[in-house]
Amino acid sequence: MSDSVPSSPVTVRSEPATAGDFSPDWRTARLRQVIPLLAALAGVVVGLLAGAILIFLSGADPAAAYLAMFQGAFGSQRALTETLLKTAPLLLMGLGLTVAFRAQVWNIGGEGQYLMGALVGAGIGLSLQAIAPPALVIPLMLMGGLVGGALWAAVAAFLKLRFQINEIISTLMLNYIAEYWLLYLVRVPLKDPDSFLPQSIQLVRSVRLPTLGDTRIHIGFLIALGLAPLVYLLLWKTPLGFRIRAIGASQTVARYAGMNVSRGIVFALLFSGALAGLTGIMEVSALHTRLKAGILGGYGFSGILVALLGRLHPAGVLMASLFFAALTIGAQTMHSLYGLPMALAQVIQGLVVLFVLAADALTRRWIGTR
Amino acid sequence: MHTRISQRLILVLLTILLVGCAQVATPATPPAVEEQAAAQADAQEVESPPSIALVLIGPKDDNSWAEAAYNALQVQAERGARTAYSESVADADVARVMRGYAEDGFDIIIAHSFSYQDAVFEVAEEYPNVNFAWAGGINRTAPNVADYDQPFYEPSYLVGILAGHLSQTGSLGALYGFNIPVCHAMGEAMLAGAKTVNPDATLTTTAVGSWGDVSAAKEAALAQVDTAGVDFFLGCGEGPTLGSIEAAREAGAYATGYVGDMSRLAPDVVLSSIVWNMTPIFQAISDATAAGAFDGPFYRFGVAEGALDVVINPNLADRVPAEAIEALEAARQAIVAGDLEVPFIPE
Repeated sequence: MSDSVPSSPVTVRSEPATAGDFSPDWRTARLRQVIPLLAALAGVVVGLLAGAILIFLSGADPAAAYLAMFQGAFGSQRALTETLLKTAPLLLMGLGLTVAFRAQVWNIGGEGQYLMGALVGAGIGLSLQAIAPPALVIPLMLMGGLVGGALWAAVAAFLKLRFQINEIISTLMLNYIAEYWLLYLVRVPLKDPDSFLPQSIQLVRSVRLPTLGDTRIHIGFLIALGLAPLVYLLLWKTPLGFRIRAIGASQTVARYAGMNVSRGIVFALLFSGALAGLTGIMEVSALHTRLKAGILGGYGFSGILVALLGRLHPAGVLMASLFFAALTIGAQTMHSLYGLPMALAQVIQGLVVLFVLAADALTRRWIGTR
Repeated sequence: MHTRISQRLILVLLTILLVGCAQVATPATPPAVEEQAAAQADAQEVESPPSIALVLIGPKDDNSWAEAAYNALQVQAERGARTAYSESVADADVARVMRGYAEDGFDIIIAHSFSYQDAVFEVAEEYPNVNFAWAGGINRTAPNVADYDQPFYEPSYLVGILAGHLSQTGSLGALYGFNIPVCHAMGEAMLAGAKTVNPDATLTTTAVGSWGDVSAAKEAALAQVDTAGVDFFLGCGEGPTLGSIEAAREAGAYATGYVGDMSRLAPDVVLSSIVWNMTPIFQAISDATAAGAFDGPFYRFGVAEGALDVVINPNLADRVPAEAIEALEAARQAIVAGDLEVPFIPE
């Protein structure tokens, strides 16, 4: 499969020879879409091969280990459930960041927005669970997650527009502020009086995210799945999406074209923040069941990897999040069966992203020089 | 030309990176799994002990908390039990890992962290035929969930006797991950032990706010040195302990190993270590399960039961006066005989 990378750009080079009639431009454009995809695939394969070397050096059979990993992620209904449950937060984060990154808005504050969404959503849940029906509380919690995350991102948007403060710095710094807010809240005002650990009381069962039938798949997964096509439509079928992509391509040009660049940037930041916040309340409601220090799952950063690996396209992000989830879940089986360290899974994830990005850069350069 | 060079450069960098990763990953597990499998095959003909799976919050070779449980699991494997473990499992993942073991037919699942509380009781409810145990120490149990205590304050008292003899300033420092009863009782017991030797001994405590943040713990420990003249440390939690060891190294103080012999980490600093033998706990769970008599007990194994003790770093043994050794030995005997009850001051 890795052969396809060096061979296909040659085809591209031959295209301009037939320039002059109408078709080649179209075909070149088509090829330019396909080549990066093949390159990404090659990057995945090379990354996995590199991982195989590491597995071998750790004293296990790479083929058997990867098989164990695959079975651990997809081999049974339980495994599949876990993989899908892990896919949901990655997908949500990745979709939000796709919109932000498309506008060249580098929101790396997913962790903070996730936490703020979790705080607001869980705050609503904890205060209303005793007095309001679940059918009202659950939607309010999810709304709270969206609003909490968006508001936290709005701080960075305000700083960027008013004071030209780079959002990379501000969103990153806001992560720490959010984290210490959480640590303070679970230690003092929200602390469970019956526990001596810093954590809030538990969300009662009825206000946790409803699941599908007998499975443990919750509606958060369906929401994430449903958002993927919506984000596609947003980016490619609406004027707003066009504006976002135009801003990402060149702010100056977008401005000259009469677009409201500030509004596009604000939307991109708030949208990614809202989805991060939704991820936060989803994970707290379905998994952690209460606020505590351990609710951060690192999704703010793994979401960035998923968005990049998915090449900022909702379909790609869907595949990338499934891939990451499968790697994480499968690694547990690999670890259990072969005693391979869990850190190896993260190393393999990192290698795959690295090789995909390297393949991307190399092919871009290749195409660019022809 | 230019692009060629940078392409090559990228390749070279990737290769270097790969080699680097490989070196990090090499000291991974030897084929212990196969040995276990072989042992299982042998034992299958006789009646094998209940199978047992262990979930660890840290790496199994952490010289401390996780390693204590892993060692006890190995004892069960040598007895012929089918065993499995998962290391470095975050709170968010532990329910999934335990469900996996329950589906794999394990008889016993041990969740070796206080922070696994919610997950243990949730999963235990789904699998009533599997026996669970968790490191609660707060006597919260269910019909199929046992809780095992960690009375680290008992050996802390013995450490206090050493501290009373060896601290020049009489100012002792304790670093807690969190100010929870287990930790608080450790510091107070050390102070009580030290006061049997030096009635003027004082205790300075800091709750670092993390079980893993070594550098924060080190700063807190150095602050104790600067403000209170602390020259003898006790840590509760691995991060606090490692931080106190680092600080002791810089400040010329003594530190104490936590739930594992840490004398190798800093041979000139770690005067003694609290060690935890979890085999009696695992054995009790296994026996009760085999007999079908498991009813979610609260296990309490301390110094008297041989589960907890203090070991002195051989490298520093010559600095410990004979009278300190005698006093420590006498106190240990008194605890075992039931004549001495170490004060438990949880808050």
